[in-house]
Amino acid sequence: MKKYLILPTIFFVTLNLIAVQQVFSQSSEATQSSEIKEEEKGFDQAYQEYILKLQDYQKAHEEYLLRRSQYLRFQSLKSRQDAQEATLKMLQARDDVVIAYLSMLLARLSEAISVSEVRKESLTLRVDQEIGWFTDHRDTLPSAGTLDDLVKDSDLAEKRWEGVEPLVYEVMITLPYGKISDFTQRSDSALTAVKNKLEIIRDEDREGYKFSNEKFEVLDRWTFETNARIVRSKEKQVEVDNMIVLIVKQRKAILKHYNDMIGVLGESQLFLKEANTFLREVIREIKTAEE
Amino acid sequence: MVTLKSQTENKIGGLTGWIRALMGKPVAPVRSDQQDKSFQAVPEDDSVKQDIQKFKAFVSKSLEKVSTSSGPLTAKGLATGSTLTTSVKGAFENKFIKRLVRSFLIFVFLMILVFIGVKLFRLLQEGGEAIEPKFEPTPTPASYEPYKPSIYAGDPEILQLEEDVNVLEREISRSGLREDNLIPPSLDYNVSFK
Repeated sequence: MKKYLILPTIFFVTLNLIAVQQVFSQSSEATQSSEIKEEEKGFDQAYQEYILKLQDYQKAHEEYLLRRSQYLRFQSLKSRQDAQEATLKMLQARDDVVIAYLSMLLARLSEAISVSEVRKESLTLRVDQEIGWFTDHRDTLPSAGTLDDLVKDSDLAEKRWEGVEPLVYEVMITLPYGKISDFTQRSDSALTAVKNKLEIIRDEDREGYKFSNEKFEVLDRWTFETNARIVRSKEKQVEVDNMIVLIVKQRKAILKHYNDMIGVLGESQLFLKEANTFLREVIREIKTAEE
Repeated sequence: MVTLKSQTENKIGGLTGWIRALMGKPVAPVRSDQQDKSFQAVPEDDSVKQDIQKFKAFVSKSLEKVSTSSGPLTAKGLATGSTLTTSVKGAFENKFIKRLVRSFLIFVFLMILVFIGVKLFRLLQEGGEAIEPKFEPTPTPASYEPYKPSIYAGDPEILQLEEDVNVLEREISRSGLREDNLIPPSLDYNVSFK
């Protein structure tokens, strides 16, 4: 009876020993995945905080509107004091929203792909400066003695925000720009690999391994078209680059300008898609034998 | 001869009776002399009695006839029934027939088992789900294109390149450029008390 029990036990133990892949916490793969998770968690956490701050601001804003209307109606000392308190809370909540929003942008920028380190650092530095300014502004708000002081503080924040908006849209366009740059690089390297393979085939002398001139003409035409699409895509990216430079001047119609940039990036993406379709055609042609 | 008018008057009780019936009151009792007259006019009771007597006589006669004619036949039938039961009993006592019946029953039982087994096996093969008829448009089979693979069709480098290009194309098609959750918040900067 014991013999019958021992044999399956040995079998299962051996199976487990073979199947289980060991993962050490100190291995490079584990560290990399934990870093990615931390980054994701960083953005998610920042986004959640931003949403909470936005909700707090909405409540404070409603209170401010009520106290303001009461003060304008009664003009009493009590209503003035209530309005001042409500305005202070609202201004602080508004600064909190801006700080949370900019922090969320930074978290998103940190995980952006194919954005040059120089550009990333420059943007991070500028966003950090803005976060610092709004933090100071929030901290100095309680020192305001009158309602007029608070109004002046609010005007200061408004002017600052007008300067922040172009930076925000610059960060927002940098993210898809990085994506398109990544696709371009990968398409370029795929085209180079296909061209290299074609050169190897062209140099072949063995029977059955070489292609006819007509076949090479077809393959060359496809590779030429692929290259043309990638070049066009790059041209569109340069166009977007120039538009990003102009973003600072677009104060009023900044959203329209951002939409225009997204449109141009979309065209670039379309060219890349075509380039990859042509590349697939080249590969299909290589895999097909001649008649 | 009693007229129709007089008959209805008798039944309803005249105009007053009709009005009383309309109002939901009981009809006024008919006079006793009128009742006697109608009783004498139709002697219904005697005729019914005669009919019942005639029917009884007919039934008794027919029963006698049936018993006399079916007597010998029933006796014969009982005899044949008893011979049948004795023959069946004899057959069951015979060992060969016993075995035959037993083997037939076992065969039927085995056939049922095999049928259930086959059904269960098919059901398990289909993932334990019953097949439901689907009324979906079926695609027309693609026309066969004569494809002659070259020497490079199985080349690992080419296959790797093909996979890379396919993955890249899929990524390009699926990736969205606009990130709506990053759009700046709309905040109220118009603070004034005038």
